[in-house]
Amino acid sequence: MTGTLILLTLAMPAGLAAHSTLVRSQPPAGATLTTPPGEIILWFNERLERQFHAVTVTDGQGRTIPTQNPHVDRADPTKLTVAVEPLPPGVYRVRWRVLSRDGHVAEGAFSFSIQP
Amino acid sequence: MIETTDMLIRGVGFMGIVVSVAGPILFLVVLRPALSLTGGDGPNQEIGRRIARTCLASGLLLASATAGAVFLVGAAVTREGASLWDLALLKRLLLETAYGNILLLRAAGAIGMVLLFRFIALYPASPRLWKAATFAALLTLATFPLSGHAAALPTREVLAMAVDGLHLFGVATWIGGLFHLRLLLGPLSKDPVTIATAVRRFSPFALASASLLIATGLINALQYIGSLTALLGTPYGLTLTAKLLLLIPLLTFGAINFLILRPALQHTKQHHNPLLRRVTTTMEGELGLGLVILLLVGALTALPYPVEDSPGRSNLAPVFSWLTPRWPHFSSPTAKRVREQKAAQKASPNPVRPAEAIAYSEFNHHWAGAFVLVMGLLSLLHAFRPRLAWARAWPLTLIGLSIFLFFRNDSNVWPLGPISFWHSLTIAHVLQHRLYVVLVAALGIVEWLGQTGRIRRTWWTYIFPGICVIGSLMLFLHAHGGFERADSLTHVQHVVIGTLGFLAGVSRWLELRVQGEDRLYGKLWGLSVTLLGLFLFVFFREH
Repeated sequence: MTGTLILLTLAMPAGLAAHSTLVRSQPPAGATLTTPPGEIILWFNERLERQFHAVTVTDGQGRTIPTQNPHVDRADPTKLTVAVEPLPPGVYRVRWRVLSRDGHVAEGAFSFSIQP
Repeated sequence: MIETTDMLIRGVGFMGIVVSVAGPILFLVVLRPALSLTGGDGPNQEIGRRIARTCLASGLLLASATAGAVFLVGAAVTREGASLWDLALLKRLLLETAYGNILLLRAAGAIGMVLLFRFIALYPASPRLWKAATFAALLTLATFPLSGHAAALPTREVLAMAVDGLHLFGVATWIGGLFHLRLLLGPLSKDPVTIATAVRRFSPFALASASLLIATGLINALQYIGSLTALLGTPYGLTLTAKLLLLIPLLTFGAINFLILRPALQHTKQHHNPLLRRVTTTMEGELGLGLVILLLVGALTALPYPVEDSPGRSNLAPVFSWLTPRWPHFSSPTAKRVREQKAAQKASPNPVRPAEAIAYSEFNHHWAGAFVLVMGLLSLLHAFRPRLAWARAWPLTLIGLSIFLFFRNDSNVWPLGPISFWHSLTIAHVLQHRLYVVLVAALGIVEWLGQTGRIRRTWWTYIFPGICVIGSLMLFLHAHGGFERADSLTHVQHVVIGTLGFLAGVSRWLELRVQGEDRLYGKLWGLSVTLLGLFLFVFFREH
């Protein structure tokens, strides 16, 4: 008990419990592309709910890029796809949030860039 | 905060379903036949009524946990923008997601069970009602694997859900059965023959449940952990290791009941039989550890399986890192130096935790551990040599510890920092630390007064082991967050301290229950605290 209290007293860490994790993406995290992607595809380690997911794409200045029709694939419920308009060269950040089948909400982000 | 509450709510939900399922099964399979051998309809009905009332309460607990789960997911999905009280959103969550559908089913099952148990409390002799309640409880139990980790697996989810369901059923019939049986020992205390018959019939039932639990646990471990590295090097694996470590004393208690006490109860006819007292104690030990393990299961549900974890997370390096003892710090940077370095780092474009702050914190942990070590050694001495009056003073080390923590906790606040005492109480984390300090001191004083016979030991004695268990659980929940920030060493340390804390809490509880008749629990308590102190003193480190 005292050991526990010591730890709780000396340090009270707090954190976010991520559950679903991003396994891979298209474009991959950190990738440098020569042609802009028509869509962004995310693959997770868990089956996702078809509702309550969000993908936002921002450019180097923090402006939000319009996206269309984010959806979880019916045949592969670990796959989330979102269409993006043709992107000009620059650095982009993709932020995602998903609800997995076991009721856990997870979120994360990655970046990619497009060369002129 | 949401995640910690989520794990707690899941743990409470597990407790609710486990007790609800166990009640009618225990009554139909174990108690009714046992009671009919010894009594007749009178005791049968009274026992049935009591079980139904307990199940009614656990059904309400489950319904509340389910409602809590809905709101928690709602809160998590509305982190950005929408209100949690948006009814349209909750409706969408419940009706348009598989998880929501399952929660709705569970809530309906819980309410159905509550109604059935209410009827059973009125008509306890009706076998139909008992069977209907068993059916409803089992259906409700089936919703757990459907909304759990297994349901989210990308492949082989059906097998995983089936194994999870059987695992939970094994927990229910063993731990839940024990829970009911323990509650019934009070009302049955004037009827030792019935108790002996019930315990004798329950033991093989518990053994079968434990075997199911172990078999399904092994299948899960082989499928989702895969390697020893993953067992010791991932958050899921480490938490499972703690669960397995706690399972050892739990099985030991079960074996004592089955192999020693059960045969001895064969010819019990006396009131105040010391054997029955031992049965009660070992049952409480089994039960305490079982409930703790259930809460750990709640924590496990929020961690990814090692096989689906990100590559590179299965790593034994942190485990080996703390397995190497090293000398504790004999000096510490001054509080002023720590403040200056922290301020410098804040101004830096890439701030890191200053080395001075780490050394300051390690010094605190090492020397707080020294207090715990002394307390453990004194407790051990007291358990082996009860006539040594001075060894009874072990609670006084808690007062010393609280004074040390009061001075060293926060380098920014009085008495070592510039922030005044009163102002420091308006800072949430400092207030929290101060409250813990007061709690440690209060426990020390009260325990010491109890040890020296100045005050009578009553219910308050159990606060100490209770806090021990709850605090340890909190460490497991916090450890999870730490690991997500790649702070794997913190996770390893929290698992060790949490496990020893659980063992200390349960053994202290039992030591108090047996009131000096059996010194084994006192020795276990002393040993757990000594190991805890030793760990903090020579193994603890930050990075």
